[in-house]
This record gives sequence, C-alpha cells and structure tokens, in this order.
Amino acid sequence: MIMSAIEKYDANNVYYPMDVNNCTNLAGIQILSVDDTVYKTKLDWGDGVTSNNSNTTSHTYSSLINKRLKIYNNPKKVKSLRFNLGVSGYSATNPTGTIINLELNPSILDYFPNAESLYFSHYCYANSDPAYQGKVIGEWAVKCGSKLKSLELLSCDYPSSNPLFNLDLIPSDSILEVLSLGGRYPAPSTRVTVSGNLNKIPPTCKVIDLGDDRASTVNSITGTIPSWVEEFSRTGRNTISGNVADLSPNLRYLLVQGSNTLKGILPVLKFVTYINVTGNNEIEGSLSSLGSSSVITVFIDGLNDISGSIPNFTECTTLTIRGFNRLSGSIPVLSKLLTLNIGGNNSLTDNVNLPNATSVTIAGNNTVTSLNLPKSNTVNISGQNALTGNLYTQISPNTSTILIAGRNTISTISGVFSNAVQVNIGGLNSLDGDVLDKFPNAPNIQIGGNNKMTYSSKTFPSTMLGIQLTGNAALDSTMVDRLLIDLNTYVTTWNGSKTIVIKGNSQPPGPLGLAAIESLIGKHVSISTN
Amino acid sequence: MFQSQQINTMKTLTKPFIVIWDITTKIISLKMLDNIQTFISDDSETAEFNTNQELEDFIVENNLIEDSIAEN
Repeated sequence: MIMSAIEKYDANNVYYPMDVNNCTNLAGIQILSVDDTVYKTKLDWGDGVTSNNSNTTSHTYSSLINKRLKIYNNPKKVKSLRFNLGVSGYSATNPTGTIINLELNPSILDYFPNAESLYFSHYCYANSDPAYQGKVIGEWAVKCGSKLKSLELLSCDYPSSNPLFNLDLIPSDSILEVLSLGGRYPAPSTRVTVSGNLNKIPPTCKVIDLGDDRASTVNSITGTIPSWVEEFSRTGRNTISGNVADLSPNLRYLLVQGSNTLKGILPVLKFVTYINVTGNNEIEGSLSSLGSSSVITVFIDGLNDISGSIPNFTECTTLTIRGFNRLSGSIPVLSKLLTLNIGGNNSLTDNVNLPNATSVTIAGNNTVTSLNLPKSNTVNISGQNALTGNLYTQISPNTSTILIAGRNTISTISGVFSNAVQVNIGGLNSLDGDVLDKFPNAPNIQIGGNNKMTYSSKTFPSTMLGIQLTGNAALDSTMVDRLLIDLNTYVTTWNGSKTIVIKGNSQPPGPLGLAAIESLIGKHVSISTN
Repeated sequence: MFQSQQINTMKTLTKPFIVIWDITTKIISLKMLDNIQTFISDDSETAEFNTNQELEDFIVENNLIEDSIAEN
C-alpha cells in the first residue's frame, strides 16, 4: 500500500488512498473517529468488498492483488489510526502469505490533524526481497505537538524503512503521553533511529519505550531519565547517566541496556515490577525500597553497593545484583525465584531455600550453611560459604553446572550428577574416593581444594574440554596411568582448554601413563603431572 | 600413493611458572605456578619462567586473557 495525498471528497468524507501491492491479506486496520456513531469509517478494500471500520478490521483477498485501498472518513474527526499488519510470511527466497506494503510517513498526521494516537507494526523477518516495497520513513518527533497523545511505531520492518525520532525536535506544546518506538521483534531493521536529549520529553509523557539500536546507526541519546517517567525502556547501546534518587516514586518499569552510569541511592519505588539496568552503575541503598509484593525482576549490573537484607519478594523471579554489594542476613524462602545472582561482599547467612530456582550464584563473604535447591541447573557457591555434608541432597540431581569453592566443607556426594557438564569443586571441601564417578558425562572437570580423591576406572565422554585434579588429589602412579589411558581411549575430540592436570599429592605417571601422554599430545592436549 | 599425516612431537616444560594459550583467541588454557612437568605438543603456544613476576609480565605484555573458570 502506498499512501498519497487526499484525492476526493464525498460529502464530508475523504478517502485516504493506499496502494496494495503483492498482497493476499490485510490484518488489523482500525480508524476511529471522535464519535463512531456519527463519523463512520468505511474501508473499500479495492476488490469490490467494503467494511465498516468501527472495530479492528482485516481482509483476505481471493488472490494476490495489486489494488487501491480507500479509507473513507472525515479526516478532521479521526482520532485514532491503527495499522497492526502483523507478520508477513517468508519462506526460502520467496515471500509467501501476507505481504503488506505500506508507505507511512509523518505527513499522515497532517492529513488527520486531530489524531490523538497512531500505531504501526509490521514484521517481515528483516528480509531484503524487493517484493517488500513499503517503508516507514521521516522524522516523527516534529508531529508530537498539541494533538498527538500516543505514538507507537513498534516494528517498521521494510528494507527501505528509515524512521527517525530526534527528541530535541519534540514541539514545546507537546502533550504526548505514550511514546513507544520499541520493536517487539529482534531484527535491527524493525527499529526507529532515536537521537537527542531525554530531557526534551514532555512532562505529560509517562510511558516511554525507545527501543533498540537500528542497524548501522550510532547511538546519540543523551541526558537523564526524566523524573516523571513511570515506564521507561531503552535497549541497545546507551550511556545514560543520572541519579536514581530522581526517579519517579510511581516508577513501574525500568529497562536500560548499554554502558550506563546511573548512580545514587535507590529511592522508594513501591510500585516497581521490573528493574533491569546494565553498565557500570554505582547504585546504593536497600532492596527494602522496592515493593516486596510487586517486584518481579531486579537486575542491576555494575559496581553497585546495595546493602541490607533481601526482602520477602513474594512475586520475584529474577534477583541479580552485581558489584560490591553488602547484602546481609538470611535469604527468605522465595518460592517464585528462578535466578539468584548476588555478587560482591555480601554476608548472607543460613539456609538458601529456593524451591524453584534454577540458577543460583552467591559470592562474597557469605556464610551460607545449607542449600535446598531441588530445581537447580546452575549452582555457583564461592566466598566464605560454609556448606557441609552431602551435596547430592542439597541441589537437584539434574544440575549441569556445579561450582563449589570458598570455605565450604562438602564431604560427601552420595549420588551421580548425570547431567553435569561443568564441575569445579575446590575450597575446603573434603571429598574422598573416586569423585570423577559422580560426574560421568562432564566434559570439563576441576577438582582442587582439600579433596583427597582417588581413581579406579571410568568411561569418559567422547568429547572433552579439560580435567584438572589438584589440591589434595592423591592418585598413585597406577591410578594416574589408568586415568591417562582411559582419557586417551574414550575421548576422541578435545576442545576448549585441552588440558589434563593430575597434580596435588598425586604420584608421577609410570611408563604406561607416559605412552598415553604421547598419544594425547598427538591430539594437541597439554598434560601436567607431578 | 602416500598420505601425509601430521606428527606432533612432544616437548616438556619444566620451569615452575608456565602459561599455555590459544594463538587465535589469546585465551589462556593453562597457567601454573607450581609446574613440575607439563607435556605439550611442540607447536603449542607456551612460555615458561623461573619467577611469577616474569610470568605475569609476559601475560600483560602479550595481552593474554585469563579465563577465571579455567583457574582452580
């Protein structure tokens, strides 16, 4: 569909022409007036079929057509324009199914001068097929004046699209309330190029989604997050700074990716459900500032210094705080939490009981004494934690990544972790016996610390990255030879570090081991022994 | 008709401080501070030193990357 100037008057109605090229289906067009019982909209689809348009309307053509769609209405009474064109199918080198070509530029808001909202979304998998002739172009900020309250350009996916939004060009009389330039689809070609200073966003605008970087663009957004904003997101490359203490107390959603440098003390944000801030942020304060029953996601990257206890976040699914945090006290039973990742110098204590958590990383000076992680997939416990006893009963048998270092004194693994792929057990743990048997399929194993392990024999996976036995490993020469022979026999492919380290208190290899080493060298493996 | 075969001969690092790295990624695959004997292919990228300072200087000067997961 190619939009052009208004062509014809019919009583008070004008039809707005849109050329439909290579089209089999038009989805989700809705044109609303100030009073749809008085100022009715009619859609002439170009194939002899017409529809009244008080609701969202779609149309399927009997064949692939090149026609002219006409939207009849009194343009001065139109208050809402919505083009939700969905997804155009694409298969191999040929477009299939819905193909919608719409040329949309900011002058549409001159044709409908009293429109309060404009919505557009179309996705075609970022393909460059010439059948996609539509485009969304032009500078849209200049049209956000005294009439437009909502502008949503969610996905502008045509090969020739190049929509722009320079925040500096928003008119001073703007009454914009919702600005959404974020694509819901991953292709960079769907996005709007946003530039200018965030502080030019009008105080009426409380919901802002500035999307991601458009392909081949340079991010040039400056300024700070406005203090009146209640929902804000901007992914991609950003260098947003400012003091988080200035955030609105009504903030509900904050997503800022990039190399941001937000600082300051976390204010009281009782309504927030989502915080996701990456970069070199230096945020201080307490998690108790966040509403314990509302927050779902907390992801704060950088050099933060969050202190105090972890509240009873009953709805929280992700709690990740990197940096030099000083969280303390015991962790409440957070039944909905899926990811816990706490970095820094925390001093968390006692039992970590997270019945649904799949990924748990706790660093710092924590003194965690036991785990109850029946759904775990990744467990990374370091620092000063003091786990004791049997690891197998504290985490899921299906755990794939097991990193236990620090001051833990794990003494027993009573079962087999069949799914383990990355195993690193060091620290003050005191495992004894044939520890490798507990991880029969792990291609990457490091066991150090106080573990006094031995070896009998084992079938290793055909592909491995490395195996390092240090600390108090106590393999005699026969065991060392057997281990080297088994690795040489069963492992046909070495990737990654390609290292075998058998040290600790182990004895050097004998003649059989040296023969295996010579063969392993031919596979580019590096082997270190006593 | 003869088929050529890559033969990797072995060499041994015996100094106490050693580093082995990937020539393409510069990621260190093995760094040891208590080496006794490490057997490697003679075409591996390696260096060995008598002091830790020499080792650390070498890592910095050659922009080698330490993978924390690989350390123990």
